[in-house]
Amino acid sequence: MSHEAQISRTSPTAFLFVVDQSGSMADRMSSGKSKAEFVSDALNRTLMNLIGRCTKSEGVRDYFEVGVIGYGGRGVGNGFSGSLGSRILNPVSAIEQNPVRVEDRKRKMDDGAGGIIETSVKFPVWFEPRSDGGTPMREALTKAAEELAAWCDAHPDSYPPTVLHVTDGESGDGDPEEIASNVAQLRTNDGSVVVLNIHVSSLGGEPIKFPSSESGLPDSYAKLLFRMSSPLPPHIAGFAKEKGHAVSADSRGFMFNAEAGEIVDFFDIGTRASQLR
Amino acid sequence: MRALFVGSCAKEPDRPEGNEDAHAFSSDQQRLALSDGASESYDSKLWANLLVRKFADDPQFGPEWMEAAVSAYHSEHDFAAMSWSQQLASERGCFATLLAVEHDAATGRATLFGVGDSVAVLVVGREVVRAWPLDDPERFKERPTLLSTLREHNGFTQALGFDAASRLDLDLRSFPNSTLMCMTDALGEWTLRMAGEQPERLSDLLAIRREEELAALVVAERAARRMRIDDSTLAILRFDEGEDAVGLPHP
Repeated sequence: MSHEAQISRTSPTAFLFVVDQSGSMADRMSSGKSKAEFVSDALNRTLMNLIGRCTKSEGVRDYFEVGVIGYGGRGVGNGFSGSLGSRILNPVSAIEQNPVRVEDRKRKMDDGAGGIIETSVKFPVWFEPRSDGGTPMREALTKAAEELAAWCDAHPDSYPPTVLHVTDGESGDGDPEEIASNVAQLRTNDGSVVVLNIHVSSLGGEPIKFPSSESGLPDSYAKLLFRMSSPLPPHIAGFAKEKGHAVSADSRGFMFNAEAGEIVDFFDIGTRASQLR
Repeated sequence: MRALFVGSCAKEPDRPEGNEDAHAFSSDQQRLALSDGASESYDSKLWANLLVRKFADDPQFGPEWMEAAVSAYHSEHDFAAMSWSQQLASERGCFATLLAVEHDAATGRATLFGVGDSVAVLVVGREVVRAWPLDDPERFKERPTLLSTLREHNGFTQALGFDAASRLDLDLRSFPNSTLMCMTDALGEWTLRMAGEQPERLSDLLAIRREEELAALVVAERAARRMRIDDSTLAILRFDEGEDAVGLPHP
């Protein structure tokens, strides 16, 4: 059986976000935010949640190492900056310590007496929205492969890394399928790297979530992203089901024409690696 | 009731301070409470300890009991002084099981109280004659309902049928020479699986009298991938005449 290793401080897992920052990510979604802004909000919130899962009263336990690779007009680079910018994958305790800034945001909540009050909550920001230039997807996935090959060598018994790739357009530097296949063939003793792809759209098309074959997909681009996506490990499929998604044994980790709600779900489901201990 | 053994093996044996299981006896030693704090919780070690100490002192579980426990937990933390990540983790709440057994020597009965997937296993010889609240090892794969420091998650304790479902009355006179083992989930799952597949292994468990012996069994079974890696607590109780084991860690 694969993808069953328990995650501990001595045997952490890794999440690597690969984020399209090309010019088209500036297009507005139905919420009024650009795709880049929404993805960066969802990513920052996901980082917060990962830290929350690792935080105990005595401190933050390094169950996870997390990285962000951005690609766009400035080429391929580390999505983190400051002291996190010197390496791609950082332990979650270092991420907790080093947000770029902490914003005060308003949140409405129950006042316990039947009313609603607005409170201020801290919202740390690690990843800034950016959208310009082309789409060097091959180069970004090549960078991901280099990072994860080294990580798997250093963590042979860990739950394998998960790649969460967010894009809104076709690769601008050649066919990415072979590179994605290489990434998905990297492995630890607990199984191969899980590659999840989400295509973000602002066109209002019907989203396609966790398809199980190419046959119903609308075009060759969607079929390419399907082939670039791993079958869902059973526990991730189970979590997707709990969130109300129709998932079969053949479902791949892929969403097409995703809007805001799907992006949030995708990050949440994709970061539910095996059991923490 | 006399305890032949009570002890625990942490998920990381070299970090016993990280063990989030807890147990406590009442002052007359006739009531034992055991709790397993969930790993993904901000301070489940404290929550598990609060629950067992409270139940050992006062077994009258109900809305007021639960509110007092939650209040006691929150009084131990200064939310305003926490960092953003501590606040975030704290807001996710803490969760824990609670399993308790109380013996009435006059009637020969034992009353069990259970929430979650910590289990009591009654054994006669090497045969499991009753396991509760779970009796099938497959059921440990389910997500258990747990007691929470978040009040909104404890509504189930006031639901119709909770009292009946959370209590079991055992007439021990029907099971002479029985032994009751109370344990947290990883050990409980292993025990019920062994009861079906290799019942002779129950002798290994029943023979444990020192924490080192429990650790040896747990570490070996983890290495053989027959037991999940989790904090593992075991209490071995008898209801006949006799002496308590010498040198119990927390009598």
